[in-house]
Amino acid sequence: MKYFNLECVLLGLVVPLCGVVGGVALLSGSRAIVLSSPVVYLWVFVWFVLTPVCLGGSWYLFGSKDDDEDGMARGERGTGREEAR
Amino acid sequence: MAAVIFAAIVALSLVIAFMASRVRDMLRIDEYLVGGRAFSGFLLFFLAVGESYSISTMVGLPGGIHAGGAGYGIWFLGYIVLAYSFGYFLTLLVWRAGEHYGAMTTPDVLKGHYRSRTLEVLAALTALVFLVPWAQLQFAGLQVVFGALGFGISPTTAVILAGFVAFLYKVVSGVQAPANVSILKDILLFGALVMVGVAAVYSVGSVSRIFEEANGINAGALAVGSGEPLVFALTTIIFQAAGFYVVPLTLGFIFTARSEATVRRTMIPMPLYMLMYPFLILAAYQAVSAAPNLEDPNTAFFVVAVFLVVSVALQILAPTLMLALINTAYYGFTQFLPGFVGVFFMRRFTSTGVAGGLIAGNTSILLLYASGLTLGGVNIGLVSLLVNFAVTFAVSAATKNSSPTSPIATNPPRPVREGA
Repeated sequence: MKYFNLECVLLGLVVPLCGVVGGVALLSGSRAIVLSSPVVYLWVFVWFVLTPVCLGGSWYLFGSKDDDEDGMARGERGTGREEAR
Repeated sequence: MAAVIFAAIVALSLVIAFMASRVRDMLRIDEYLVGGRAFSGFLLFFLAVGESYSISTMVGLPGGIHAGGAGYGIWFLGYIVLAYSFGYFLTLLVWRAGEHYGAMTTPDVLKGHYRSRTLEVLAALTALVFLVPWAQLQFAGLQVVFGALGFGISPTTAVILAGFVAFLYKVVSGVQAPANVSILKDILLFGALVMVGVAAVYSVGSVSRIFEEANGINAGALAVGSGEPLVFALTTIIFQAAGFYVVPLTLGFIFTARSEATVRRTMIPMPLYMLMYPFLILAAYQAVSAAPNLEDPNTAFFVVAVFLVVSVALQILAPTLMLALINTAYYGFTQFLPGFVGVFFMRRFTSTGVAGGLIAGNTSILLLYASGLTLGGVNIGLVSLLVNFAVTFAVSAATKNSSPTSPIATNPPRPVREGA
């Protein structure tokens, strides 16, 4: 049951969810401008990059190994390493 | 000039669409609707982006910010970025259910799992009803765009023509056409929005001045605030992110993937495409503070930018708040979630339970919508979803199924198919 691998769900879903929702809740009243952008927007923009990092981490640390054990992801990882199938 | 560019792009996209018809055997329904479940991650990425970011949402976002302040911009961006997190865990199960039941649509999946014709019809009706605001959103966006192009034809005629072109794509090449055309469209869209943002900065002088000017005009422009607007933004982010991957339109592109691993892996880089949004936000805030002032010697270079900024300005004046149409569509779309949770994980959900939940959820939306209650800002779709879940549990408990179908998550995945 790799879908309920706790670390995987924590990193891929709980972290971005708490990050976006919690951050917006905390910064919602601020009109500060940080790095030329209103701080609440800047916070959400940062998650456009952090979310792929979390998902990628989830895939490489917890997900892809399971998929390989199932024999389903082989040869289409897209890294070129498995091209020799 | 704009008209020539427009015509050239439409012509190019039609050529791409017609060429796509050679790839697949269009007489087979699975080839036609879900591309034979054979799309690579590359094609899936562009199709997913193409289906998710329509011109209407691009045009609608600035209007929403203008009318609703930063709260509207924030829920819009927040729900999409989190949808990919939910998607990373849900889409492979959606794909597996599609393959397992040979399903190509939302009602197909529910009928395949719960073996109920009644539930299938009910799901199809729900999907149809809540696709109406979605279609209205697209047509409202098209009208703004055609208005900005200034072809001198009535909005109605323009929308009918656009519908005809889209119909042509679909008829000749099924889902392969929008997939191939998406590559062209997604690249153009990203480039155009970057140019619009740069043009906005260029006309005002600096990035922070755009926001400072907007702040000077409207004190609520930069902050979400507290109370109801904040509660609405937060509950909408959660509600719509959770529902994104049970939207009937979304299922259509998930099913085109060639394997579970492909669909799951494609979710990882998806939020990066959202890096175009900071540029759109810049344009939106420039429109908040001042009428676009781009009629200078650089107009020729920024022809796309001018066209888009003008569209943005027109949308602000348009009577329908387009982002509210997204909310309305999601009120209904997300009501499929309990049914899918049953398909994925819950052996005890019965067809009667899911059908009862769907009816209760839809009824709750209609009542809340008609009553105009604000519920302290909580998204009424989220409240209805909780009603839906409660009824699904209760009715399922009362109507025990003697031979339940195994949940999809407990089925071993099938090995990836060769070729394609």
